[in-house]
Amino acid sequence: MKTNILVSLASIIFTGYVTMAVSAPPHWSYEEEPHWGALEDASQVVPLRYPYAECGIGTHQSPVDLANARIVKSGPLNKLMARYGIDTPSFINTGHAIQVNTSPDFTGGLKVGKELLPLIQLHFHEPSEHVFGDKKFPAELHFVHVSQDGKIAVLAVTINIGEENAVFQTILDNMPYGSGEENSTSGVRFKLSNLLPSGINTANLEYLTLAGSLTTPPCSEGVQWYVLTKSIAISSAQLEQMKTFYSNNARSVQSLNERSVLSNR
Amino acid sequence: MRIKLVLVAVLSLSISCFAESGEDQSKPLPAADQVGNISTGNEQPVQIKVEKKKSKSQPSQEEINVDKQSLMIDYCRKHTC
Ligand SMILES: [Zn+2]
Repeated sequence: MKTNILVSLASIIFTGYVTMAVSAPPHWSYEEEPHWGALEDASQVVPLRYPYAECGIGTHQSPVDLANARIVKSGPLNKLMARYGIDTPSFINTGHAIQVNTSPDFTGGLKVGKELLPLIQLHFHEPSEHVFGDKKFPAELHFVHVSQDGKIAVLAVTINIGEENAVFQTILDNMPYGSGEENSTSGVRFKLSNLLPSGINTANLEYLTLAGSLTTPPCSEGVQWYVLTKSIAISSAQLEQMKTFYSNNARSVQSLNERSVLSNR
Repeated sequence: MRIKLVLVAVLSLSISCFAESGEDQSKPLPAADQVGNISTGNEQPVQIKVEKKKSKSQPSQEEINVDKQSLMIDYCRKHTC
């Protein structure tokens, strides 16, 4: 009951922000991660004064340790199909990660069952956010989708060190260095599915899924996570180049709080 | 219960303002689960309050969803969400 009230309160805070949009959200950094929930917007009164409260009081937060999870090989889950075709995206340095935004006319996305969730952007974290016990991957790629009712689904792909990745190099080469800068005039076209693990069936992905949150403030819950069971590779030189943009831009592991992780394997 | 009623009132006000403004989307933050989360549990008061407000500006659920989707898309293009 208490938790419900807190979560409702947090939701209302964000509704208020969307509604009023009267002030910029407070700046945050990964160094401040333990205190995200307490960061204040001094121009607001309680509860809008704490726009990132959900980071602190949420019970379905991301990322998580998937080795520590109760993995349920449940009955038939939604079939997951990645329809990531060719696009001429823009490259944006958000101030917290390097990100690729799909063009407004991009029609691809993630098909979950019968619903196609448009792919809005993809971005990278270093090191990985999701971990498997002691194993942390060098990096993690998030494909972000927004459903028709405004809910977010993220397809997460862990990244290992291996061969050079041509598409990732294209992203690095076109990424602006300045925080907040966007390169929308590169004209570079590539197939976004080339960022998926090679040799997988993109029409029927193998995944783990759980309910979670944004891993960045405001840490809003209601995000459905799909973590691919296979990784992609980039070279160690590419990882180093990526770190010249952002390093340690990964939130720490959050408590599962009785959540189950479902597997379709 | 009293706390819930207060929360419901705030939510109603928010939804109402959201429906009526619909223009200033310059600094949105995610609203992925607002209506969904809050309408779970003790649903009746939420439904009643929302209906009252809806009769003023009459946004359909579909319209609210479209607004929520475009807000989220806008937010996620600008931020690492
Ligand atoms: Zn991410």
